[in-house]
Amino acid sequence: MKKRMRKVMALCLAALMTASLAGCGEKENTPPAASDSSDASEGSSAESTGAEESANDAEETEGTENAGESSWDLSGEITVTAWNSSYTAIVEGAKQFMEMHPEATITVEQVADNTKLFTQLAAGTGVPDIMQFQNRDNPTAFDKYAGSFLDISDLMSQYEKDIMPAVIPLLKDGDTWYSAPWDVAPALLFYRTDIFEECGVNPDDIKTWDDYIEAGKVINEKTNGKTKIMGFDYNGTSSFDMPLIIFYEESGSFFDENGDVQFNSEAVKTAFTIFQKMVDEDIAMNLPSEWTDRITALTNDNLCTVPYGVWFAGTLKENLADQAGKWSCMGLPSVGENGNNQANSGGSTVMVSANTKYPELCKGFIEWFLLSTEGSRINMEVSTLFDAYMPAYSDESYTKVDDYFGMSPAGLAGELCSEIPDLPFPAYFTDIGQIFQSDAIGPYFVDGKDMETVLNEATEKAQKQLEYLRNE
Amino acid sequence: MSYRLKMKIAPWCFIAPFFIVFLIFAVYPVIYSVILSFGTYKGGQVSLSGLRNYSFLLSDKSFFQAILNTFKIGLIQVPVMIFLAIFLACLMNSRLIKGKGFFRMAIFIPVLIDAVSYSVIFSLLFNDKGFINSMIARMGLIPQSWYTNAGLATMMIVIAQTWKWTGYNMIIILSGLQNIPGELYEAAAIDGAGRIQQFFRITIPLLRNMILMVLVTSVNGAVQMFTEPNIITHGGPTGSTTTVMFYLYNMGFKNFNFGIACAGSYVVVAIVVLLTIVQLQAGKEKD
Amino acid sequence: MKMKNKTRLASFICYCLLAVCVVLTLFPYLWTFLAATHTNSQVFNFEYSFKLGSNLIQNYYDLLEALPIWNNLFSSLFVAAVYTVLILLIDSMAGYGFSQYQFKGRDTLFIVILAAMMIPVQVLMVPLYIQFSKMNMVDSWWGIILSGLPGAFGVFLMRQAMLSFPRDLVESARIDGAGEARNFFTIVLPNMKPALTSLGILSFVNQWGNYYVPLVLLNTTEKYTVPVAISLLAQPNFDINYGALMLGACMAVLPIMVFFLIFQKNFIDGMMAGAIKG
Repeated sequence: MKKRMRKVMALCLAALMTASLAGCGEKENTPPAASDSSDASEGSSAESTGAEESANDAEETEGTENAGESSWDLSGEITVTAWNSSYTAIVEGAKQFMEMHPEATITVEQVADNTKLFTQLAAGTGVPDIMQFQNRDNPTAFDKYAGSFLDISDLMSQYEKDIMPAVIPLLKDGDTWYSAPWDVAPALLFYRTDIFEECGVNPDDIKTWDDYIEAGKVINEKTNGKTKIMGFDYNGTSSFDMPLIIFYEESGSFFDENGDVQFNSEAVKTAFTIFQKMVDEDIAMNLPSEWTDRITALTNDNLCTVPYGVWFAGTLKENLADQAGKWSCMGLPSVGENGNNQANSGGSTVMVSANTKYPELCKGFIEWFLLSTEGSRINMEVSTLFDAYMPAYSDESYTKVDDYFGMSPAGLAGELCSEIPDLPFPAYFTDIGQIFQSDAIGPYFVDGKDMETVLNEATEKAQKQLEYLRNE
Repeated sequence: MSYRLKMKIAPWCFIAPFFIVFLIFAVYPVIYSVILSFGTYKGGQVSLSGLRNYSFLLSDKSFFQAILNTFKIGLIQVPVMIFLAIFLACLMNSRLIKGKGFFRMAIFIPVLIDAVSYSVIFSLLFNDKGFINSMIARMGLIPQSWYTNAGLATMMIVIAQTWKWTGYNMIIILSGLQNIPGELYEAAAIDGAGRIQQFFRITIPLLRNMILMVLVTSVNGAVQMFTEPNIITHGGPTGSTTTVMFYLYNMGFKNFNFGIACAGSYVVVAIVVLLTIVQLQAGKEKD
Repeated sequence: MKMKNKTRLASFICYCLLAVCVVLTLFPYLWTFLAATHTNSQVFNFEYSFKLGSNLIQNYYDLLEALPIWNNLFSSLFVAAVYTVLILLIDSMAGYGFSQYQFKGRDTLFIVILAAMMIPVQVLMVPLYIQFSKMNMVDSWWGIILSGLPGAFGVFLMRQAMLSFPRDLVESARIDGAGEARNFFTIVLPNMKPALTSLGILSFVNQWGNYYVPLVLLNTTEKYTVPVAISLLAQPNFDINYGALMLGACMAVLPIMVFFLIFQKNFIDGMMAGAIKG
């Protein structure tokens, strides 16, 4: 009975609509472009949803019919948050996207970090439609803010093969995709060609970290101790990215197979031993506020190599413009002969709010901006962001020679990303990582305590916190 | 309206605007956060978990370490700063000095700089190869590694905090000084009291209220200190400058453990209230 | 003669001591001002520490490209000014209520208000955010202004200042038939100018430096207050244009310096008025 009523109503509505549409056409007298016309009819079918639930289905079928150019309804208004250079890139992306799709309105907001976002998520209100995350925060966020993010499996599953494999585990909670990758950061060894040359060090000879240490000794000697090969924060509090590079190379994780904290792993011990050797040999320098101190040291020629994610190329160009032509980069050293020399250091993702009014627009924009060569080109050209979308790696924007380096860092990174171990960031990595920074790195490198003891004590403390966090 | 009734209603009318704002924007959030301090936040839901947050904190060594660090910094910083502030205020009040406006301004302006630039400047100044170390080297002393030595890092926080807030406190004390009638000093001088005697017999006692006020706010400021460790030392080395607010901020906003952060804050509030009562009592006893 | 020499020596020593302090407090500012004229790499090069650079104009353009800094300055000004006016009004009224009347629960209420001052605002941010979003005040300056109003400091200061106001004056006005509100606005408030000035300055300076609340509540870059805007320039682990950052810091500090220079004499007087009964 009810169903019949609905059908009758639907028919009436349909009749009314065709009449009104015809009227519109007559008035405007301009035939809309192909994509626009489908949007117009979709829009009107959406109007009828107010009265008719079944119209929902109609909308969906219509959506799939149009699959090809864009399978999503791109009309609506959404807000996107991003930080720093990602912000600059997405502003350009949004601009181009809106030119192509005038029915879409995308507002991009700049944030300094995620303090505001966490407040919004905790308050359950004010959350932007698309939000940027540090990739290592993803699993924790899935756990802490379960229900806040939109399931985007329908979009993401189409692109699984195109995404850099190491980052995929961070995008899913179980089998459900909640996140799309933005940039990733295959690590390279950035080095000063002029200093290497002056000291007679051949970069091609640096295959392992032992070679690296030998090169460091030569440079230290030739420059009378002025120039060190490595700089990192001995305290571990401002950053622990440097020792972690080796840890990532060695497929390290802070958790054992049961999900318990395990700092005392081979990967950690290897990284600690190699870095301690650099300190002992006096070829490393302390960078307590790692970021600013590193730039200071580089400016004053106190530091001549930096192993970091490919995005560091942009930093060098921006902050050390007058050292153009003096830099180059190569693959990372490996732990042993022929060991793995691929690692990832940094990167970000986006998530869509579960409360967004325009899920299709969100997905459509993500698909174009983060999962197409066109979008990746914008990211690379505007902000030197190295996307996780692998088909873009052969694009000219990635492979063309960068005059600053006399080669292409992005091109090299594109070659050095297939074997990167899965990123080891399960839920609560940030909590546990913080304890690792303050209770393992500092006591070991600054206080010179015994490695086993330090790692075991830190493990114990982190495990306690983990159990609390997991509600055990 | 009778006089008595009027006198009963009037004060409430005057307090009302403040009180309404206070109810909406202070009492409600406080109640909410007190509840959160007894709960766990997960997946958009707060589930009550009794004293779990408090018991976690009380069994966490880092929390006690952070409280201890805060006291360590405060115990050095607050007296040094107040002493300096009194000293400068006296200089500023002296008849020997001209151009007081300029000096007042010059000493007050560190309060005005924004936290980000302040941090960048200080971290560069204390850099291993930075300005301070190059000055030390020029004086023929051994440059120090300010960030790797726990004691020096604490000193650095003390110096930064003192730099920023001495002028503020100096102004408050100076206003008290200018309130002391000059005749008192003249009378004391006639009685044969020297400058130093005058200072301890007249200045300090009459400044008591001012000093007390500065002391209470500075102690409160020291307990709530967050910006300096966050931006200059990042709490290092090995957690030696992790203040209690820095610890709680990390808990709440880096790691999204709002329950613990709220619980910790109330532990801190309890400590501050206790300290304030002690200070006020100590101030009263001398009456 | 001897006495005069002694005074001279004393004043010389005083000047020296003050000069040392002034150098210490001003040095970081000088460094910042100079850095605002440097290129990115000169900022970190100690050879340039005391040299004037030539990159000021470029830094200005870079700053403008990164931030709508003039809008940000206006936001800060608007928020701080409105906040200050409101604080002066409601805190002086409350101070009057607490100081000039006897009523049940007065002291308890006052202590509760003071105790609330000690709760760090970070803890209150999540509930505040929920409230403001219900009131449609997210991304609005009014949220920042309102959330700062319950501070007890001003009430405390105004109460102290009004405790010393002679009650006879109010009483005689009452006998003449003046209403309570009229008493307050025509007799008491005009005499509170010094205290109001000092409270005004402190409120303005505090709101100018307020970082945390605007960071969470505002979304639009144009609406950001200066500290939040500056923090956008210095996001960790990315490309920071330090010259532009330092120029931004200078531009953030200059207005408030001017403000302080204008009012500083009254400020001291105001603090004195507040101090009488301390």
